[in-house]
This record gives sequence, C-alpha cells and structure tokens, in this order.
Amino acid sequence: MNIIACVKQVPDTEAQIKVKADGSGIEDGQIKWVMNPYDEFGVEEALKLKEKNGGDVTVVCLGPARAMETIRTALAMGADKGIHICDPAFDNADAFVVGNALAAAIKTLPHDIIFCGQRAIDDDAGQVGSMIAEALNLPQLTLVTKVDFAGTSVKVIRPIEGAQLLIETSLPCVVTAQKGLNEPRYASLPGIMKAKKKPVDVKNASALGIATEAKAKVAKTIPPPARPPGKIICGDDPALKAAEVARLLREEAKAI
Amino acid sequence: MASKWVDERDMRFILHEVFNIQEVLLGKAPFEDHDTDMVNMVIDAAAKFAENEIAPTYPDEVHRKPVEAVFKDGKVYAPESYHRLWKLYAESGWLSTADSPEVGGQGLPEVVAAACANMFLATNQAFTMYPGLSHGAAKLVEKFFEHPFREMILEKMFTGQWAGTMCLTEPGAGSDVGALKTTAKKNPDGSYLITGTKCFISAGDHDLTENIIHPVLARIEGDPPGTKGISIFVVPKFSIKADGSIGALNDVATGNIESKMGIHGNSTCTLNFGENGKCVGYLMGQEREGMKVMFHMMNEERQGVGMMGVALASSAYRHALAYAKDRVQGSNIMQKDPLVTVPIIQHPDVRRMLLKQKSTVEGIRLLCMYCYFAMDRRKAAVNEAETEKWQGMIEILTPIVKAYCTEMGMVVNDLAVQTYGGYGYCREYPVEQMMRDQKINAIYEGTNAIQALDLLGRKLGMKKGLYFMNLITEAKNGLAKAKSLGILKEETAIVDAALDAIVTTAMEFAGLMKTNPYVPLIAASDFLNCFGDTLVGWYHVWMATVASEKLTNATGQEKSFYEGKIEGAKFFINRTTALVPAKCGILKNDDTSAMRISEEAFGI
Ligand SMILES: Cc1cc2nc3c(=O)[nH]c(=O)nc-3n(C[C@H](O)[C@H](O)[C@H](O)COP(=O)(O)OP(=O)(O)OC[C@H]3O[C@@H](n4cnc5c(N)ncnc54)[C@H](O)[C@@H]3O)c2cc1C
Repeated sequence: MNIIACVKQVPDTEAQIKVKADGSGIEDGQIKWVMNPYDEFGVEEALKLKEKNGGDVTVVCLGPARAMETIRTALAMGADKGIHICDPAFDNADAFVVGNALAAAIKTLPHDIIFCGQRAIDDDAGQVGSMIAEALNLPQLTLVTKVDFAGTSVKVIRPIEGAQLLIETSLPCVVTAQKGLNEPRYASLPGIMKAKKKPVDVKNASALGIATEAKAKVAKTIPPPARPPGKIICGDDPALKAAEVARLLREEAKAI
Repeated sequence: MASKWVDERDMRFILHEVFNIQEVLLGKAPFEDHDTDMVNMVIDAAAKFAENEIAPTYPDEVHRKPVEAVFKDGKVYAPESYHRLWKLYAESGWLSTADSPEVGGQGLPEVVAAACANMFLATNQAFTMYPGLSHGAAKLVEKFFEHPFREMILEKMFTGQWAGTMCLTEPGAGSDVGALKTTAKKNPDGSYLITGTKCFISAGDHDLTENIIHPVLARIEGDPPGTKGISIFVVPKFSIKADGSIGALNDVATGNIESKMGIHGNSTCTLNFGENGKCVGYLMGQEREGMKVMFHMMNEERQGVGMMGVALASSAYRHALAYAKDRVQGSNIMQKDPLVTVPIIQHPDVRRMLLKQKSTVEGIRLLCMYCYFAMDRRKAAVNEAETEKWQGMIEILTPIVKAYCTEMGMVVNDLAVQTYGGYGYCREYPVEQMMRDQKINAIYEGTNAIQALDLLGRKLGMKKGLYFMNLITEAKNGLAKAKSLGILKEETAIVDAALDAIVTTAMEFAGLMKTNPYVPLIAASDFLNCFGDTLVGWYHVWMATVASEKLTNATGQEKSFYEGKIEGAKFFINRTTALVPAKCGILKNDDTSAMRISEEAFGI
C-alpha cells in the first residue's frame, strides 16, 4: 500500500508570536517550530495503515529549509521517505499554490491514500487537503475521526452535529484528519537515529513544473488587540465591593 | 515561560553553546553517527515526553487519596499510572539512550542522555528511579556478568521487560557496607545460595515487569570481614530456567515497604533472601571483588542522584517563578500606593529568592552536566593521557556532584516553598511535595557525609593530587578566557581567589590529617560545599562568557535569556563564591569544639 502523509511546519502553540513591524508576516527567527498537530494525526494513521497492511509511507512537505526538521520528525515516527518542496518562490504561497505543489509531487508517486491534517493551526485555512483532491481529481473525505481500510476502498467516520456519517469511497482518495482519529506516537530514539538515513528528495518549483503565483494574498498581518488591563476592586466591605462590580458590569462592560 | 517543569532552553544552551558538542564530540568516534539535528530531536522528544506524560503522574496525593507504592499480601504494586509510563519509556528507547548499539542502545553522548534524565527527573523522580536503577543494574550485568544467561538478561533489561535494583543496605549495614551479614554458599553447579535481609531497597519489588534482577552484595562463607570479603551476585526475583524462561519465585520475599517522607511512588523494600534456603545467585566478577564491581553502579547512581537534586530544584524554581508573576500581594515599595497592588515578583526580597534559585539551579545543572561531559571526553579520548585526565575529572567530581547538588537543591526547594508563602506549605501546590522528595537525595547512595569523606580522604589525594589539580587548572583556564575578553572582571577575580583558597585548604588539610585529623574531619562537609560554591562560580563565569558573546546579536526572548545568565552569574559569585576564602579560613582554624564537647554536654 502506498501511503502519503502531508505535513506542515507551524509555530509551537506555546511560542510567543510577534508580528513584523511592517505587517508583512511574523518574526520567525526565534520561535520553536513543530509539526502541525492535525498532520500528526495523519502521519499516525498512515503508520497504522502501513503496520496493518504493509506498504510504505512517504511524507510530503512544502516549506523553507527549516521544515526539514518536521520531515525528519515524521521519519523518526516511522515514515519511510520524504519529499521536501523547498523554493523561495513559495514564500507567499496560498492554499491554491500549496495544494497544487503537493499534488504535483504526489502525482509522481504511486498513491493509494493521502492524509492531510484538516487544517493547519497557524493560518487555520483548512483548504489544502481539498485543493490536493481537486488537483488530482480524487474523492475527499474531510474531518475524519476513524478510518477502516477494506482492500480497494475505505470507510471513514465523520462526526457532524449530533450524529456521525459513515462514508465509503474507492481508492485512491484524500483523507483529512480531525482530532480524535488516534493518539500520535512519540518519535522513539531508534526512530530518530534511523530518520537520518532515510531518503528525502528536495524539489523546487521548476522541478514540479507548477505556477507559484498566489490567487489570494495576505495584505497585512495584524496582531490581535492588546487585552485591556484588568481592574482590581479594593476595599474592606464586601457589600460595597459587590455593588461596585455590579456598577462596572452595567456601565462599563455593559454586560448586564 | 515555556514550561513550569522542564527547562529545555537551558539544556540546549549547555549542550550546544557551553560545551559546543557539535565541535567537541559529534561526528567523532565513538559519536561519528550523531549530529546536532539528531541531538535536538532527542531533547525535543524527551521534553515532550516529560511534560505530557510524566508530569501528570507527579502528585503523590489526588483528591486527598495517596498515590503510592502499595504492599498487599506479600506483593508490591506500583502506582497505576506508572504502568503506562514504564511501557512508553521502554518502547521509546529511553532505557538505553547512551548505551552501546551492541545492547540495543543508541550510543548517544552521556551529556545528551543526562539532559533527558534531568527532564524526566524534574517531572517525577519516584517514577524515574525505576528505569534509572534498572539501567544501572543492567550495566553491571553488561560489564561483569559472564554467564550463559548474560545476553538474555541484557535484552530483557534494556527493553524494559525486566527491571533491576541495587542491594547493599542491611539493617546493621548502612553507611558501613562492610558490616553486612548476607551470606553466599557455593552450590556444586557453581551457583550460590544467598541468605540474608536487605532493607531500603528502592524499586525492590513492584508489578511493572515480569521479573527483577537484584545485584546483591554478600559474603561468601569463610571470606574475611569488612569490604574486602564482599562479593556480588545476580539474584533474580523469579528463577530463570535453563531455556531462559521464568520459573518459580527464587525464594526472594518482600517483608515490607517503608512509609516515608517523599518519593511515595517508589517502593522502598525490605527483601528477605533465602528464608527457605532456596535463593539462587550467580557470581558477578570475581569472588571478593563485590565492592569494586558495585562501585561501577554506585558511581553512576551517585551522579544520577546529583542530577535528581538539580532536577527537583529546577522544577520547583520554575513553579515558584510562575507563581511569583501571578500572585498579587502588597504594593510596590517605591510607589507606596496601597490601592495599586502588584505581583509579588516586584518585591525586592522575592526577587532575591528567585535569583538565588535561578543562579543555583543553573550553576548546579552545569556542574552535574560537566561530569557527564567528562565521561564523553573520556570515551572520545584519543590517547591514554587524555583518557586518564577525564577519568580523573570524573573521580573527583562524583562526590561533589552527589553531595553539593543535593545540598543546594534542597536550598532551592526551601526557597521555592518560601516564595509561595503559606500556599507553598499546602498540598494544593507541588512545591511542598518537591521539597519532601528532595530530602532523600542527600541521604541515599552514601550520605553527603560519606561523600565528603570520599572527597577528602580518597579523591583529593588520588595520583598524588594530580586529578585535583587538573580540575583546578581546567577552571583557571576558563577564567583566563573570561579575563582575556574582559568579561565579569570583578567576579572572575573572586572565583580565582576562591580556587586558590580551595587549593591551600586542601593542602593544609592533608597535613592536618596527620597532626590534628579532627579539624579536617569536622570540616569535610563544609569543605565539599565550599568546593562546590567555587566550581559553580567558575561555571557561571563560563556561562556568562558565552552569553556575553551571544548577546550582541540576540533579540527578544533570547536577549533576555542571555542577560539572565549574566545577572545570575554576578548574583551567585558575589553572594556565594565570594564567601569561600573566609569560610575556608574558619574551617582551618584549630576549632575542635565538636570533638571537645562531651556526649553528656550535648544535652542532659
Ligand atoms: C528511600 C530510601 C531508598 C534507599 N534505596 C536504597 C537502595 O536502593 N539500595 C541500597 O542498598 N540502599 C538504599 N537505601 C539505603 C541508604 O543508602 C542508606 O540509608 C544510607 O546509606 C545511610 O545508611 P543508614 O540509613 O543506615 O544510616 P547510618 O549509616 O546509620 O547513618 C546515620 C548518620 O550517621 C552518619 N554517619 C554514618 N557513618 C558515618 C561515618 N563513618 N562518618 C561520618 N558520618 C557517618 C550518616 O551520614 C548519617 O547522618 C535507601 C534508603 C532510603 C531511605
């Protein structure tokens, strides 16, 4: 079975994000970068499928040079090889460009099933999985919490409001992973050692032969408004303090 | 702040920026297969595992119900949450991080394994002791056990199917191991029958694994008394059949487990060997070489206990720091507006406590890590002189690492509780447990007093003082570098003077041992701590030198990190290392009041 897992490198959720002064993006020098958590679910599911049915897992990642770390992490978890799409031409890529680039790379490989995270936690766009499916003209199963492989088809579960859908489709297909699909394994030490020796193909835009012009451009990155300072109500008399809280809630916060 | 439990940034600082392992170790034999990316992935994986999996198992009380090792119907049960952890720990390969590929290990540098251990211990010492002891016992089997079972036992231990312990202590033989009464009697097939009682055996019995390998010190019948007559045996909890499968209980019975101040999750067992005359043991090494063999494990565990001291101090400090930023109490003393209350981190005395904690933790962490670095330098040595130099460094550092890091660790744990005020004394916050857990580290693996005697009586004089002087020279070279760069001029001079005081005192003590031994014997522990204060002064100068260089191009959090290193160095050296010459002077004074005072005068 030929399994593909797409991964993106994103800032750690704990990282302190600073927006560049000119609003052209975020300062990326000092933050810690990690694998997008939803992609981890995808990688884990890919590894489980491989363990059960045989085959191999290829991780595909588009990102700058540092994204190689994320590919290595997936290899350390147990993936077999990697493709790193790395080209400054992709610096301002939107989901359309990324989806097409990943699809172009995947097209060159045998593929029975393609896993993506349902969205990336940095831009929250949630489009790339669908873009890949469109570009490759494959069925797409999104927001999946369970995957059952049955030879030439898969059955998946997708939770919806108050119920779940059981969806079946033929292979190949694209599956986007939702929280609850599995519990991603830790990279083991032997896995980390082996990751170094696993092959990673680095490709640029011209090797893939695709356009890099984004359809949607981020005009400006704006930090969220600073939280106004809290107010501490002092005094000895609880009744007076409570009255003051009530007054503030009514007059200032207009909450009651 | 990234985490209240682990300090990943400081680990990377020590490994890459202070030790520069990329240049010094990685890519060179025996680390030719390792590179910086790998090391970073390992540190990252360890931090994640510690924070996400181990830390949640830390509390020894949940909803007022104890979480502890339990003794019931002759059997010991580890806390429920440890089972999954043990499995994950073993499966991830943490039992053999720095071990040879021949036993299934990854052969990583010891400093890298130590950095991981620091984070595991910072999140749950009681748990981490199970794999820690198991590793130490497996190393003994690897080095000294020549028996058909060897390979099989190694495989089981390094993969976590079996565990291990160390069995020295008996009711009548604590600090004085030579007084032990456990006996061994040779069987016709070459194995031995072991009879005796060991007490205080950590991880001595539990249900985490299907079998436990006990390295047991015992005296073969007829051998001389004292440590010279001691041999060491591999004693499995369950017998091992010829085909390697597990047989019946090997007449090893758990008598009881201790109810104790801290590390409740770790079982501290009384083990009765051979109550029915059927406990079989297999000799490790040669007869009467038990102490020599056991010292391999004891050294590893002593360095490990030093790391425990660092780790508990580190997580307590990080909790105290987070609390101090959050807890609002009182107003700023300079503004004196009672209506504007501030987080306690704005009070000068709270800052004093925090900086003392920070500079102590970071200093003892580097001291401890330096000992592991020395092991790697020894492994990577290209000639015999280098091997001996680094071996000597380990010899002299081991008692200091064990005693000083646990002594100062407790100082930090105390200050962490103090930083919290009344809440620190309550179980609602983990610093209370951390302080209780920390205390054992000054006691087991040879009390800190025994370490002080080891330093004074054995280590200082080894090779006619060569090892001692090598360490001093290494420190002086570090100071010279700072001096040439003009970094921390005053502080460097203070550390220099402290080093001189240590050397003079060591020499005078050597003389006094012959003329008036009570002076150095009473002073031994204080001397060890002065030595620690001095070495940590040097390590602070080293860290500050690196930080000063990096500061030029640093921004944001990184800038703060380096600035913190420099302020920490100044604080520690001026307030602690600076006292060393004065303290040494006092220790050398012919003050033997502790011996002159009669036993009755101690209290009637
Ligand atoms: C929780 C726990 C876990 C332990 N785990 C293990 C284990 O896994 N394996 C194992 O073998 N042991 C273990 N021990 C035993 C531990 O190593 C001993 O408790 C320790 O070595 C001290 O021995 P003791 O308790 O008999 O104290 P004692 O030897 O009676 O010492 C009492 C006091 O006298 C001092 N003292 C004794 N002799 C001297 C001397 N010659 N000079 C100066 N001062 C001296 C000591 O420093 C101490 O302050 C453990 C103990 C505990 C409490």
